[in-house]
Amino acid sequence: MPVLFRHIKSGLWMPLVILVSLILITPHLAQYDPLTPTAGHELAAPSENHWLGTDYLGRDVFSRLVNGGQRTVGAAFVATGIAIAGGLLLGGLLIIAPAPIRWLLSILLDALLAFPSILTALVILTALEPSLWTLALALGIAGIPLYTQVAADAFRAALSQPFIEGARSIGATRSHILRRHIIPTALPALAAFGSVIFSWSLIYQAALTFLGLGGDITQPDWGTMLAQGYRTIRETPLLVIAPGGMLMVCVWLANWFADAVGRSPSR
Amino acid sequence: MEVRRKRRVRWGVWLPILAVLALALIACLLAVIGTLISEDEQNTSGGNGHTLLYGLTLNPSGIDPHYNRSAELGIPLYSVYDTLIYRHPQTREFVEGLADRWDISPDGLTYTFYLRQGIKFHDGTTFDANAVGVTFDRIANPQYPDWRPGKALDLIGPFYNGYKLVDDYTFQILLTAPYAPLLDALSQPYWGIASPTALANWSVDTYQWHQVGTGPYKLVEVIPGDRIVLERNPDYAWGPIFYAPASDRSIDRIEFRFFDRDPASRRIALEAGDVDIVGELPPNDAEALLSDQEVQVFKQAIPGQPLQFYFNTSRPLINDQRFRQALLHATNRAAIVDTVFFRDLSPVAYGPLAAVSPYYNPVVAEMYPNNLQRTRDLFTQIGLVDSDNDGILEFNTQPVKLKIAIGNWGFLPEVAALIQSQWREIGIEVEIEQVAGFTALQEVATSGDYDLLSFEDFGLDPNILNPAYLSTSSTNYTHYVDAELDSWLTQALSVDETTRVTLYNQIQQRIMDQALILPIRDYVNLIGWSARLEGLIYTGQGWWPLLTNVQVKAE
Amino acid sequence: MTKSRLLAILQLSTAGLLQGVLVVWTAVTLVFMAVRVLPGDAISAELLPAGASDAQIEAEKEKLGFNAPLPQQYFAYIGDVLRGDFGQSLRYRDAVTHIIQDRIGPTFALAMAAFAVMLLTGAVLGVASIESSPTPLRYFSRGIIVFSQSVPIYITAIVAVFIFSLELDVLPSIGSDTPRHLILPALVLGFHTSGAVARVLSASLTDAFAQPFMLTARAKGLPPIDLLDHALRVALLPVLRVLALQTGFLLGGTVIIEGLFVRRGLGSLLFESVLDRDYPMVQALALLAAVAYLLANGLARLGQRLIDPRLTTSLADIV
Repeated sequence: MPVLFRHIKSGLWMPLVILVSLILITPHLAQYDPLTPTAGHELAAPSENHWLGTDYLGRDVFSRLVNGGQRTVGAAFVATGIAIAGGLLLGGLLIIAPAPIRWLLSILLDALLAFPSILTALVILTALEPSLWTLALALGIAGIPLYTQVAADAFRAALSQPFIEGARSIGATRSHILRRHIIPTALPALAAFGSVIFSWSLIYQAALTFLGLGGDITQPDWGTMLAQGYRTIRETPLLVIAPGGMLMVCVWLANWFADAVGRSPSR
Repeated sequence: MEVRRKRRVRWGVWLPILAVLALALIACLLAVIGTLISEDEQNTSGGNGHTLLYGLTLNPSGIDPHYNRSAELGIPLYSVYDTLIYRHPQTREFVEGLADRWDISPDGLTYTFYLRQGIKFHDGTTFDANAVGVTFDRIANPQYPDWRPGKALDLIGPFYNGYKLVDDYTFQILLTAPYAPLLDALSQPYWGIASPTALANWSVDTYQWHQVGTGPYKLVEVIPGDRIVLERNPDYAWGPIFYAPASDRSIDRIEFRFFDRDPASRRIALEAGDVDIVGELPPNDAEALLSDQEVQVFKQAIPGQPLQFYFNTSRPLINDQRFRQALLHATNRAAIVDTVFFRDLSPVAYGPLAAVSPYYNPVVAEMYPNNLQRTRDLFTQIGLVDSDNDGILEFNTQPVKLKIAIGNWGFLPEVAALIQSQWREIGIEVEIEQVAGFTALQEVATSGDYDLLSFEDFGLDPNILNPAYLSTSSTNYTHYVDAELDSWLTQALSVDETTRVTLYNQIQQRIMDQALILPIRDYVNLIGWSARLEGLIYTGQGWWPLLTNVQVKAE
Repeated sequence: MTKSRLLAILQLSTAGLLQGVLVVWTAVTLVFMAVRVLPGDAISAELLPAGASDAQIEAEKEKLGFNAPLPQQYFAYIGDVLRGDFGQSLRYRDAVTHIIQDRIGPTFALAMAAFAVMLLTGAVLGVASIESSPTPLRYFSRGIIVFSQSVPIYITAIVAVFIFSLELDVLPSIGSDTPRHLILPALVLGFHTSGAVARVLSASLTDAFAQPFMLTARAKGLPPIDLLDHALRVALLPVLRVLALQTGFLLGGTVIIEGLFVRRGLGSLLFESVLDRDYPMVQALALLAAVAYLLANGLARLGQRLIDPRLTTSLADIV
C-alpha cells in the first residue's frame, strides 16, 4: 500500500484518472439515445443539433462516441485484467514452482507464444457467440502468454537484485521482502506492460470488429464505429476521425502511464 | 589495444542488424524475382490481347459446377460450359443449346433431346450423347463412383429416373412424374456438360481445377481463392441465339479475382482502373459512381427470394399468427430500404418472391402496410401489455425479447439495427446475433436458436420455395407445418402452366397470410463496369454475365 | 577465447534446437486439441444445406478419419505431420500443402518487406523520441508512434490507396502479382507494427544513456559515435526481443491487409479457414505461424548473444 500512495503523490496515476473520469463523465453529455436513428437524417453534417453529425443509419455520432467510450475502454480493461491475472499467476509459477514443472511450463509458454495472438483470438471467438465481451475475453486470453513472459522476467530481475540477499541476511520476513522489495522492483515493468496490453486490446477490438467478429453493430463502441465509418470514409471522414481520435487519446494516455511508471522513483 | 577492442565491439553490435536487414533484402529480392517470373509466364496469350479483370464478390467453397452450390461460381463457369438448352435473357423462352430441338412425351415423363453434331470439347474430344450421359451420372447417379450430392442434383428434382441413350446424338431423360421445372434446371450452369475424358483424368475433388466444357471460354488456370483465368475458345461456333459473334473487339482473356473481404475496395479498384467489372457495390458507392465518367453502373434485378427474415414458428409467441402479422405492420420497410439500399437502386419486397420473378403474385404488396395502430390492436388481442411501464411489452409477465440471427454481409447488420429501433417503439426488444461467415449462420440455423433468421435463395423457377416451406424439408427455417401448403407446393411441381400460376398465387398468399417471413427488399445487383466496355448483359437468373457479349468499345 | 565462445554458442544452439523441437511438438499438440474442441466442421457445413442425411455426413466424416478415437487420430496426425502431410482441406478438397504452396510466396514477401519497413521506421522514430532529443522532434515522433499504435490498419490502408492509387495514380490498388503491388501493403503494415519497436528502442536507449558506464564513457570524452555504440549494445537486447514478437503481429496484420488489397496469401486463407471450420487447414497454418515465430525468436536470441557475451556464459552455465 505505501508504494501505491507514493505513486499517487508523484502524480503517476494521472493518466488513469483522466481515462476513468473520461469514460464515467462523458456519457452524461449525450443528448440523444445512441441506438435510435432519425429517419431522413443519414450521414448528416455536424450541426447545432448533431455536434458530430449522424452516421449511415442516422444515429447521433457524438452520443455514440461518448456512450461508446464506456464499453470500449471497459472491454479493454476486462481484457487487460484477464491477461494480467493469468500472466501474474503463470509468471509467478514460473519462478516458484519446482524445476521440472518450471521447465514444462516454459516449454508450454514458448509454444503458446508462438501462435499469433490474432489466431488465438479468432479461434476462441468462433467457439463463442460474438459480442464485445466475448471479444474482450478472447483478447484477454490471447494476451496471457505475452504477459506471463514479461511477469516472469520482471520477477526474475527483482529476485536477482543484491539487496534481496541483504534483506534476507538481516532476517527480514518473506512477506516483508515481497512487499518492500520484490513488488516495488517488479511493479514498473508489470504496470508498463499492462498498459501495452491495454492499447493492444483497444486496437484489436477495432480490427476484429472490422473482420465481423465484434458482435452486432447497434451497440456503440469505437471499434464498431470505426469499422462502420470506414465504408463512407470519403463522404464523411468525421465518422472515422471521431472514434479514431478517441482511440489515439486512450493509447496516448496508456503510453504516458507506461513511461511515467517506468521512471517511477521506486525503480 | 584500445582501438582494436572498440572496433570489434562495434561489429558485434551491428552484425545482427545487418544480418537481419540482409536477410530481409534477400527475401524481398527472391520474392520479387519469383513474382516477375510468374508474371512472364502469364503474358504469353495470343489473340487480339483484350483482357478483362472481373471482380467476384464471394469466394465459393469450391467451383465444381455439379457439386457446389454458390451462385457465384456461375459467373465464370457460365462461359466455360454449354447446357442442353438455354433460357433467353430477355424473353425467358427456352432456346436451343447443345440440343437443337427437344420434345416432351404427352405424359410428361420422357424428355427427348436431339443433340447438335460437330461440337468439340476444349480438349478436342467430340461431344455426343454419351458425354451428356456421363455428366448426368456424375450429378444424379448415386451408383456412379464420383457421385456427390450438390445443387445440380436438387435442381433436377425428386422424379428423375435415369436417362436413355437412344443413339449417338439422341438423349432421353426419364421421369417418374411430370416435373415442370426440369427445363429451367437444365439451362443453369450447374448442368453444364463436361468432357468425359477430363472427368476420367481427374478425381472427384480435383476436376474443379481442370474443368473442360464446350463453352465460348476455356478454363486455363485456377489458383484457389486467388484467381480463375479464362481464355477465348477460337473454335466456338455453336452458341445460343443471344450470344454475340466473336469480333476483334471481343475479350480474349478474363481474369477473375476475389473482392469478397472488403466491399469498400470495389469502388476504389474501379476508379483506379484496377478492375473492369465488379458486382455487389455498396449502394452509397454505386450512387457516387453514377456521376463518374470512367465507370458505368448496371442495375440487375435478381429473381428469387428477396432479402427476408424467416419467423421461427416453433418459438413461443412467434407461433401466434397475429403476433407475426403485428410485427409486419410495425416494420417500415420503405424507410429501411431508403436508408440502407436507396429506393431508386432497390425496390421494397412484399412477399416470398421478388417482383421480377415469374409467378409473382402482386396481391402481397397490399397486405401489410406500415400501420402501428393495427400492431397495437393485435398486441392487445394477444394479451401483450406493458404492466411495469418500462416501455417493453410483457407476455405472461415475461418481457418480450426476440433474437434475430444474421450474417455480417450484405448490409444485414444495418437492416437488423433499423428493425430493432423500429420495434423498440412498439415495445418489442430485439437482440441481434451477428455472426461472421456463412458457416456460422448455418450453425445457428441448424441449432434452431433464433426467432428471426435471414437466408435466401435465387432462381427463376418458383420451386425454390419448396425447400424453404415444405414441412419435411431440413431447410425449412420457419418450422411451419401446414398440410395444405405442402400439397400445393408438391402439386405445383407436376402440373401444367395455368394450374401452376394458380397454385403459386395461392402459395404466396398463404405464406404472407400466415406471415411466415418478413420481406425487406428485392435483390438488385449493382455492378460497376469500365466505360471502355460495352455489351454487358446478364442471364435471366440475374447473377451470371454473358461474357461473350462484352466488347471493348470502338475507338 | 573466441573459439570457446563459439563452442558455447554451438552448444547452446543444439540445446536450443532440442528445446525448439519440444516446443514445436507442444504447439502441434495444442493445435490438435484446440481444433477438436471447436464447434462444427466444414463437412456438415457443406452437406447440411444440401439436405444430406446424418448418415451421409457421418459416412463422409468416417472416410476422412474424423470418427476414430482421439488417441488414434492424434498419432495418425503426428505421423502425417512428420511426413509433411497436413491432410486434405475440407473446403478446397485439395491437399493442404498444395493450397499453402500457392500462397506462401506473396505472404512471405509481404512479411519481409513489412519487416524491413518496421525496422527502419521503428529505428528512426525510436531514436527521435528519446529523452535527450529536441523537444519538438520528440513530441512529433511520439505523436506518430501513438498514431501507428492506435489507428486501425484498414483506415491507413484506404487513405494510402486514395493518395497513391487514385490521386497520384502511381501504385496499383489491388493485386499481388508484381513487386509494385507489394509497396503499399508493406508500407502500411510496416508502419503499424513500428510503433511498438520505436517505443521499446526509445525507452531502452533512454535507460542506457542513464547507466553509470555511460557517464564514465562521457567523462572519458569518447566521441558520440562510440557513445551510441555503448548505449546500443545495452539497448538492443530488448529491441531484438520485441522484433521477434512483432513477427506474430505481422502475420496477424496480413489477415486484414490481404483482404483489403485483394492479395493472395496465407493471412486471408487463415481467416477463411477459421470461419469455414476448415480445421486441417487451420492446423497447418497455425503450425506454420508457430514455426515462423520460433525461427524469428531463435534468431533474436542468437543476436542477443552476439551482442552481449555475458548472456552466453550465464545461459551456458544453466545448460
